Amino acid sequence: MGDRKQARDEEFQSFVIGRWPRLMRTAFLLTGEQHAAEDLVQTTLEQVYVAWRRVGAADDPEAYVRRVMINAHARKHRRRLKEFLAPKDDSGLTHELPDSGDRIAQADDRSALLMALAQLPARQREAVVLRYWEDLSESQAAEAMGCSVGAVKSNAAKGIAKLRAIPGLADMVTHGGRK
Amino acid sequence: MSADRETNHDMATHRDIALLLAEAADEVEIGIAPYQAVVRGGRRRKTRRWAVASAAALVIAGSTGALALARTTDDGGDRVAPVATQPPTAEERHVYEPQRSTVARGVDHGKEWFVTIDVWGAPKNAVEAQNQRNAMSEYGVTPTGTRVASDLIGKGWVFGHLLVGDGPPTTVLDGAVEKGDSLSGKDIEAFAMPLESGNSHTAGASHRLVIGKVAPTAQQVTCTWNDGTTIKAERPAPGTGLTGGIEDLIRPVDGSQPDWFVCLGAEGKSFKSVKVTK
Repeated sequence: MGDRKQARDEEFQSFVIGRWPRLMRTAFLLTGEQHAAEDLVQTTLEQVYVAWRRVGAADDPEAYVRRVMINAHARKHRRRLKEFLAPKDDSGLTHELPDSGDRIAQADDRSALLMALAQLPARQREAVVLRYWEDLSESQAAEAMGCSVGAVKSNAAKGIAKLRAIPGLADMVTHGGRK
Repeated sequence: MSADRETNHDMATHRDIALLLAEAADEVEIGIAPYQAVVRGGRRRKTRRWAVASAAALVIAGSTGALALARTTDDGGDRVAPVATQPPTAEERHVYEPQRSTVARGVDHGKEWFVTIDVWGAPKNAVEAQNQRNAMSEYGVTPTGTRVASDLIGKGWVFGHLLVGDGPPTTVLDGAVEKGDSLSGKDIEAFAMPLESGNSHTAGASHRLVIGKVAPTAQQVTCTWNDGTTIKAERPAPGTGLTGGIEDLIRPVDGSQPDWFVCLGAEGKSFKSVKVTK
């Protein structure tokens, strides 16, 4: 029993170390903030630890981890995100789409995108991140979000449409990003 | 197929967005995975699943200090597993009658007190689970957090009882034990609570009784009180029975992988911390 436990501990350690960077990136897109992302990933992995005996033996531990992260995000970060990223001096930007093209256009591209993501409703943000960053299929995203494929399609489409409405986004895309 | 094509088409259409997301994601500082903190937090969550009496408190949930990849020599790894012949019956697995061990006994304010640990075996199916639930009712215990008998399937259940004087036994903690829930190295999970005796009233009484579990290899647990004083719980000398006081000891419990310990602080002292020190 001791050997098995030690093996499981080692597996979990490898899992944590190996997945940390990717999970951090996903969490960053979901939360829009460094510390919130760290909190989200740590919370997720703590929950994974509790169920690791089952999760580690499963065919697709990644799917479980994504599901946990999305649930944790939904619980903890939905409301806080807008508060954190909302421009302190322009409350008009905290709802729906940015209505001031100048402000966004002048901002750093990354900030603009993160800001726009932040202004998406949480489900749209999750759908966009899972589909276009995690590169999940609609059914995988649906599994992670605990909803139907149709809901993923709808949320992703609305989210993308809002991102495309950012005045600066077209330029970013045209210039192929910043690299 | 058409759904796949649609998905692929969708991904190609929004490839620009995907690239921007990737660039934005790269802005996060990755840092070093806080593995130890994750494990500590995970253990805390795991232990929180244990229910404790309203006056008790979870005091600590594990240390990851010994979780190194290197193997230690004192991990009991040489134990020989019994050769399996026939699967044990439910009775042999103590599904319907717990294994009971007394882990501490003492006298406080002239009243004798005991801490006992009951370990119920894991039911394998719905019938066993239902029968176990009925048996537990006869013992006056209910596994916290379970709604139907089938919730018990595959889980052993542990109840800690405190008896003081002539009073009825109080269930001070209970929780499920699943396969793999073993402790090793300096792992420790413990709960602090008042010792209801004398005139101390539960609501305002200090948490001076600490009940916890440690790996079978732990030799010493040190409880530190709020005034900085300590009490060490150690293994009893070989051959020590249950005669006399058995406070502040680490003892094996029948049916439990971890051993259990109890520390009792003097009147007025309150728990501050606990850890495995040997």
